[in-house]
Order: sequence, then structure tokens, then C-alpha cells
Amino acid sequence: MKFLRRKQQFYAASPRSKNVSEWLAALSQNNEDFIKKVLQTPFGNLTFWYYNSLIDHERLNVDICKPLKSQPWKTAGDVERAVYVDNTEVTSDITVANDKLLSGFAACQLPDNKNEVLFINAPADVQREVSVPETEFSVIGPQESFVEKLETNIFLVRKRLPIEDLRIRKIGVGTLSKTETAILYIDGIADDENVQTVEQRIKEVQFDEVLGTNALAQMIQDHSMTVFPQFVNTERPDRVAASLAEGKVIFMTNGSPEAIVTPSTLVEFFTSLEDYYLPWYIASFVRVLRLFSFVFSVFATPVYVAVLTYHYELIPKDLLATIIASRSNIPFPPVLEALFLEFTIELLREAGARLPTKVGQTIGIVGGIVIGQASVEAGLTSNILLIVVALAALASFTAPVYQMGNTVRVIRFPFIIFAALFGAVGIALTLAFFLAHLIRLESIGRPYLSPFYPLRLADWKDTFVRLPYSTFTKRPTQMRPESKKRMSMAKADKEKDIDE
Amino acid sequence: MKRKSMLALLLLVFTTGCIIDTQIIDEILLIQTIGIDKHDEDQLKYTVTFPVFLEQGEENTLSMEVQSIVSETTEEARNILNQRAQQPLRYGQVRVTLFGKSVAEEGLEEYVKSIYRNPRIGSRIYLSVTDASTEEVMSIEGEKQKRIGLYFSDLIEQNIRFESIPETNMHLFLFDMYSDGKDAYLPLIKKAEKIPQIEGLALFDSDRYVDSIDLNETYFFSQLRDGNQGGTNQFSVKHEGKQEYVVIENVFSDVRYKEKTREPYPVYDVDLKVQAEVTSFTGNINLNNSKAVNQVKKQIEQSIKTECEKLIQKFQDANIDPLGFGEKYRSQTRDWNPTKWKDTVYPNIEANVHVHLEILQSGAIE
Repeated sequence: MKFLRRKQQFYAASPRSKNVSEWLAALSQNNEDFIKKVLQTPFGNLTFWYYNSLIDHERLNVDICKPLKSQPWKTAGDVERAVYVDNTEVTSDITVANDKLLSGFAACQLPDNKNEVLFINAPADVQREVSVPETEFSVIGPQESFVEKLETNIFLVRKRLPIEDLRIRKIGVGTLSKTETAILYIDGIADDENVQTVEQRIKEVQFDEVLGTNALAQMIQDHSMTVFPQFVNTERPDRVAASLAEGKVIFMTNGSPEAIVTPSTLVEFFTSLEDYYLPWYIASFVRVLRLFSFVFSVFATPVYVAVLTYHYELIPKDLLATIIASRSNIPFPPVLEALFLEFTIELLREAGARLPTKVGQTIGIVGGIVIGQASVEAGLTSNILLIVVALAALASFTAPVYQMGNTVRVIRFPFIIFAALFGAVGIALTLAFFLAHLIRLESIGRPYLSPFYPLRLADWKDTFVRLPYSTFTKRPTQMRPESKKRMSMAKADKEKDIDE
Repeated sequence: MKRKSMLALLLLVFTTGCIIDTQIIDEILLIQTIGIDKHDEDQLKYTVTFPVFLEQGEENTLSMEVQSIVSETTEEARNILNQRAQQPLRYGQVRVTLFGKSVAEEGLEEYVKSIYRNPRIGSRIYLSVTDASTEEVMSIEGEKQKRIGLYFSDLIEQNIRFESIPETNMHLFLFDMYSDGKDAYLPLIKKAEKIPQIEGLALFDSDRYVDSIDLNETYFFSQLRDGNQGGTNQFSVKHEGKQEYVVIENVFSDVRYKEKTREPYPVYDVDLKVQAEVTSFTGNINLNNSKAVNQVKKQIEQSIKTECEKLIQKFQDANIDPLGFGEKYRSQTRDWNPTKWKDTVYPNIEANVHVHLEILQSGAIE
């Protein structure tokens, strides 16, 4: 079989000529958007080479060409001083030259020395405005979200944490895409080991085109055979700032409006930033509601299937007639009925997500009302199950982190199937399997089920409930922060005279 | 590791072959009430009710079916029933088991045990004794027939919650039955004017039905038994030389037993605290007058006392102990001997009932 294994070729850059000016000429022949422009000035002719698409033309004309026409120049140094651009460099190295050209520099060739090329920065800047968060929307709190440009995103974070210890390390990932990736952490709070783990894993990524932050997160995550997301991804700068202050390590890439928070725990996927903006008792109520809806969403349909297939004695006597009457015309066993409805709901959700907003609404109405009602009337599903499935679907949408909502919807299916095969025992079995799996999970080497396993009672004040800020005297131990104290209660409690 | 998990997965697939039969709820018939009667010398009549939901109709209509089988044992009766049932009959929703008087007089242990051993049936189902044959009691005419499956359980449940029937279910029955110092009781159902109703309590000696008390006695019995909270009773009172009636409703009551002396025979002090409200009365008793209230109270206390003592005497005469004096005696005795207790001690014990009635209010409307 060896002959089948043909040797696959990796991509390698095409051979380059040794001479810069020859290389530039060759580039302009191969790439139609690589442009050669000759600038005639009273002091001689300058040749500019640049990628037409990467250059800001107004800048080129106003800040570079205009001064060169009026200001006398002779050497590369004169030109550097003449233009209104700070970021310039003279080089004859082709590798450096290539990087410069591709990141929005214009090459300027002087007439006398063709191989010493001056690079002047004039990058084109296409950027979306900072807008309202879409997937992590909150009613109160800041309404800004990340954009596709890394510098803007770092700006949004730096603005919230104006300290010098906010460290940023940049790594280019991907052999083709060379995606600019920034790792953010606060020196002195974040655990060095976490920073090193993240940095090392990102550095070791071997892939040609890294699509974006979420793709990178999948490449560096601890376990790939799991349905549970291991990193919280967020589009909110305030969440990033809060996470950094807890000692977490963040990374984001240029081109994705998202940041990845590491390490993450299961509970974090059920926290919304709004929990920290609302008063603690309301926030706690909402959080308990969310955790309840998670459990409900996973177990409602399986329990329905198990009870109706095996454990008829569990049904209260007053509900018995209702359930039997609603099922008496249905030709399928409960499991098929349930799978059919779950499948319908998933279809609706997927169709709604793919279609434009206005059409999506129509789909919601058509699906929710027409299909649901019609399938009950046609005797395909019982109306009790319809309610159960619809509620479970609704509950799955309460997960504040989008990925967790997907997980909830997926893990329902093994539960349904095992409920149909083994009844309540099947549900217990599947639950045991998932619990064992969750206990094994890690997020950059830190336990995923913390603070429940390993038990860290001190961290419980921000899990099922969110206690008032006065209880948050220490940073969560999950991240092993280098400095543990967040504030001094003694200082906060001290009564001060108002005139002092 | 990988091989192990594959093996586990494979095993899981194979174990699906061992899956017990599914019992899909609309494909089985759910028995709600069981009745057991004596047919003739050694044959039983086994009656069950189950709802049937008509399929394929425009409207889901419910009809109740009652089927009776004559056979030697209950197990055999179940088999025969299943053989001629359209869908398999299942026991998980049984709420009440009724026993005919004739069966109850011969002992219930074997029937109750066979129900108790069925894991699908909860131990909190109701047991009950019927005055006539269960089949007759279970056949009600008209609209009520449709709800016959739940009729008896609702009847017993509401009587326990709001009226004077003491707490009862299969678990309590078995507990009382098997304990040396206590005898069991069950609600007694009788059909009066074509409608089944609770008539009182059937009292057991071990597992045999020996005696019964009526509703009025049941009111006092449940006071003495566990300080029942519900229940209304009417007392005759002499007021200004005239015979009047006062109806009181229990709000709260509490009972304490204290052994005063042991030798030669134990004497018990029974402290019964009753808090009640007067719901209605005949004649013109001025209940704003504390003197009149006191007078009425005294008389009611007295009549509760006599009734209670009469009841205890009745139990002693029948040599049954549903109040559990034996249990109280046993808990303070080193060498407890059940036969000695039953034969010589119990018939001679003395119980003095002390009633403390508190009238909380006499109605909201003046």
C-alpha cells in the first residue's frame, strides 16, 4: 500500500532573485496590483513600488509625494526627513522588504543607489466602527464590542486597564496567513505558567491559514474529543478587562472581533457580564435561573421519553388522563416523537440563523406556530411533548455564551436515545458518563469543573450566585493568581469623617 | 485506552438486547382500583377497573372498564385477565385496593403482601374494606362510573385531609399489622343510596377484620390516635334547661399518653388538647358571654371524655389495640411478652382521658 502514500508537497515561497531592484521588477510583472510609480521632482526622479491595494493613496500623495516635490533631497536620509511619516526604514534585505511591502509600506528607490530601498509606511485602513455587542448583548452596561482590527481591540482593553503591567505579546500564526495574534495578561497577577502555556501552544501551531480567534482556540485547546467548549470567547472588552484583573490570560487575533479567555471553567459559560452590573440578589436569581434552565433543557425531553416508555407509575394520577389522551392518537413510540420534534426545532434554529433577519422572523412564525400546531393536529406529536420541547429549546437559549447553548442542544440527543433504550437507568448512565468526562476536562491544564471539583469553597461566591462585591476580597484560586488580594476589607470598612 | 473504550461501547450495544419490554403508556391498560372478594368456598372474585381511551376518534373519549374474574388465587386471576385483555394490564397506577368483608374476615396478609412485593406499586396506596362485595360497591351508575378508577382514592384522600379519618395507607397498615403492640385499621366503605361512602373504620386483629366503628367514633378515635387536625363533630349541650346542639370544628389537637402506675395493671393518663372553633349551634347561646362559653366548653369536654373512654373500653372488650397501648407499654418494658400483654394485661388496663378544650372563636358573623 506504500505506493498510495504519495509524498505531499508543502507550500514554499517561489524563488527570489538576490537583487532588490530585480526582485521588485519581477514582483510588478507577476502581480497586477503591484505598482511602479515614478515621481518626478525638481531634484530628480524617485521610483515608488507598492501594493496598490495595501496603500492609503491620499497619504501617499499628501504626506509623501507632496513634500518631496518641494523639499530638496539627495540621500535616503534626506527623503526620510522630508516625508511626514515616522515609520520608515532603509534595507537591502529581500525578506525584510517582503514583509514591509505586505504590511502596507511603499518602497522608495532613489536614482543613484537602486539596491538600498527606503520603506515608508502608508497602510490602507479599512475598519468597521466599534458597535453594539450582538451575541453577548446586555441591557445595561457598556455597549461596545470588538472589531476586526487587533490594534483597535487592544486599545479598547488598554483604555479599561491603564497600567504598565498589562503586557502584550505578539505572535504570527499560520504559515500562509501569518495571523497576528496578541496574548494579553497582567504581569504580577496572571500566573506565569498559564502565560507560558498559552504562548507556547500558540507558537507551536502548525497550520497554513488560521481563520481567526475561534479557529486558533480549537487548535490549542486541551481536549478535542469533547462537546464542551474549553474557552470562553467574548466580544466584550469589559469582560476581557474583568478577566485580566482576575489573573486570566487572553488572546485575540487580527481579523476576528473576539477574544478568548483562558483558563475557563464550566460555570463561566453561564455567567453574563450583566450579572456584575445588576444588584447581586437579582444577578444571583438570574444565574440560578440560567443553571436551572441548563438542567431543564438537557433533561426535560429525556425524562418525558423515559417516563412514557418505562416508568408509567411515576405519573401523578391527575396528569395521567391528560398524557394518555394527548398520546392516544399518535402512532409512534415516545422516542421517535421526541426526536422528530427536536429535529424540527433544530431545523428551525439553523434556518433562522442562516437566513437574513427579516426572513428569519417569518421562519420563526411558520415553524413555531404552523408546524407545531399542524403536527399536533395531524397526530404526529402530542401537544404535551410540544410544550416540553419548546420550553427546552427556549431554555437552551439562555446560555450567555453562544457555544454553550450549542453544547446543551447537542448533549440532549444521547440522553434521549439512552432514555429510550434503558429508561431512567439510561439517563443516570449518560449523566455519569458526562460527569466523568467533565471531571477529566482541563482548560490550559487547569481543572474545568473547578470550584466543584477540585472543591474550592472560597470560589463558590461567584458560581451559583453572585455575592456582593464586598465578599470578593480575593481573586479566584482557579487561575493561581500571583497576587491574591483584590482589596482590603479593613480599609474599605474604615469609617471616615466626611470632612477629612 | 482506545481499545477499552471501544469494548465498553460494544458491550453497551450488546446490552440493548437485554432491555426489558417497553411499557409505552398508551399501549398498556392501567389498573387503578383492585377489588378482592370471596366468590364461594375456595374461589376468589378479582375485580379491576382501568380507563380505556378510544383511539382514532375525533374526540378522545374516556371510558372506564370494570372486569371481574373468578379464580383460586390472585396471581391466577391476573393471568386470566391478561389473556383476555386487548392490551397488557399493568399495576403501576393502582391507587386503591378494596377488600370485601368476607375476605377481610379471613385475613388480608397474603393479598397485601403480594401487592407490597410489586415494585411498581407504591407503598402509599390506600387499602380499604367494603361492607358489601367490592364488585357491587365498584359498580356505580351514571356519570360517576367514568371516574370510578380514581373515585375511591379521592374519597379516602379527602376524608383523611379534611375530615376525621386518621392517616392510613398500605405502609401504615402493614406496620400496625406486624407490630406486637398495635392493631391495624382501615377505612370502611359502604354503598348508601347507590353512592359509595366512608362509613367508619374497620378494625383488625392481626390481619383479620373483627370489628368496626362508625364515623362518630372515628372522630374520637383519630383524636386519640394521632391528634387529628381536621374533623367536625356535633355535641349535645344543656343550656338553660334546654337541649341544644353545638357543632365544633377541630383546628388543632394533640394527644399525650402517660403511664401513671404499672402494677398491678397499667393506668394511663391520656391528655387530649383540642383547639376548636364553634361553627354553628342551635338555640340562643350567647357565645360573647364567657360564662356561657365556659359552661358549653365544660359539657363538651365531658362528652368527649365519656366518648373516648367508651371507645377504649370497646377496644378492650374486643381485645384489639388500634390505639397502640401495647406499643407504649413495650417501649418501657424489659421483658416484653406479647401474648401475656394481649391475654392478661391489656384487658385490664385503665385509661383516664383528660380533655382540655380551647374554643378559639365562635364564627366570624355575629
